[in-house]
Amino acid sequence: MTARWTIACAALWLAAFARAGEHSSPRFKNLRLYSNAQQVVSTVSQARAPESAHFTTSLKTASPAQARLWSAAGGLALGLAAFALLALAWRRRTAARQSAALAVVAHELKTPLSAIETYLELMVQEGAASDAAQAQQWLEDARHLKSTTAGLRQTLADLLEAAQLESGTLKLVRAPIDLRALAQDCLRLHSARAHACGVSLALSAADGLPAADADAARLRQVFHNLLSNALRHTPSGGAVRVSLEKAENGGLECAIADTGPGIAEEAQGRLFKKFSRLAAPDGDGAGLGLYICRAIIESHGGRIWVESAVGRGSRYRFTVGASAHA
Amino acid sequence: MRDRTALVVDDNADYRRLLSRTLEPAGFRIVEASSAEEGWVALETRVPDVAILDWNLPGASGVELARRIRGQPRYDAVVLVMLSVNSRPEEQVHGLREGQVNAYMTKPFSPAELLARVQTLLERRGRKA
Repeated sequence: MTARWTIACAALWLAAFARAGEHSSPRFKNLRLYSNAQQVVSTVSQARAPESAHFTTSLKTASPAQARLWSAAGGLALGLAAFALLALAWRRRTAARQSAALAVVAHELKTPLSAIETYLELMVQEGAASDAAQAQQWLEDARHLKSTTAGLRQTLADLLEAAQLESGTLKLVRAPIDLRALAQDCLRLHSARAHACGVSLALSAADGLPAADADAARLRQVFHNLLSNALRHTPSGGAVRVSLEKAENGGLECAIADTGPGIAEEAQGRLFKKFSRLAAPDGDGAGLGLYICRAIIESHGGRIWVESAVGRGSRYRFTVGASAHA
Repeated sequence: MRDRTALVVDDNADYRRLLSRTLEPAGFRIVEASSAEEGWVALETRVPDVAILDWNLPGASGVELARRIRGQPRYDAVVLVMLSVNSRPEEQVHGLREGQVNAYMTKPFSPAELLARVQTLLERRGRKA
């Protein structure tokens, strides 16, 4: 609304500028804008008569000094009009992006919610003719309901976290961290799943690693996310290897490598972007995990990237700074 | 109704399971696929009696898969059901027209209604044959 009002005002000024120019300097006489501006004025004045009619009539009798003033004002009006147009275009672009993001989020929430509803519908339907055998099916359904609800809660947590990271309201609590101990702890939590998937999980760390200067909870989150992805994409009989080394800049570098299918080069660019579904091929999550990892690592001043090729597995690497207080 | 095959194409594991739970007790043999590409491979292996397709799939969409199926005379007899969270009337019209599917149902769905629709469509197909 503000932008439209600014454009209307600017058009009025522009007309005034052109009309005043007619009286002040011959170089304005050929101003092509004049007729267009007059049309705009007449449109605007239809809504604002009789004030604007009086306003435009009074311009005809403007002195050269007044005309120069109008000229300057006209220049300002042109600038304002251009600014208003740019603001309008920017607002439309932002709105389009927000709508696209909202559509993704809505879909991500609708799918698991509707699955939960259908499970319940099925249970209610079967409840009428329940027998002992049905109880086993219901138990199975309840397990799926639980995991679907957990997935939904995770999606909401990811969305909230992405919003916090973007708004800068997420505060890091940095302290010297033993990265090897943190990685070992994360691996222990994933070992049962790795065993169930038939994937071997191992950690190797270089000697004499400095302590990392990081927020332990956030770094743990990065490890969990990358390990979960690696285990999800690695087929049975494969391996996931975590390695810790000193980085060239004196910090630390961590790599999580898997023997999964790998990622095509053209897809790697969008991997760390918001709502990238590449990391969630089976409809799990909103595609925010790697985006959050990148935001966390970058907020620590580090870097995260992937090295991968189709058929040759993937290797996610990230860096964090060393603590000066180790 | 024995020995009928249903192809279920959905990227969501919950929905694949829910559809199996709905159709298997009615005597359907279920073939699952999590993408349009996987679904196409499954179709080439065995022509199903009914294919239940999700719209929003990774890669090619369910509508594209339906169009491809309808483009092959070999699959003329396959009953196509689109099952999607896209519930707006214009989306349903688009799905029905573009995909040339026999029925459009929205998620969440009623298992009893879906089974009834599939069975009715198959009976109608049986009468035409």
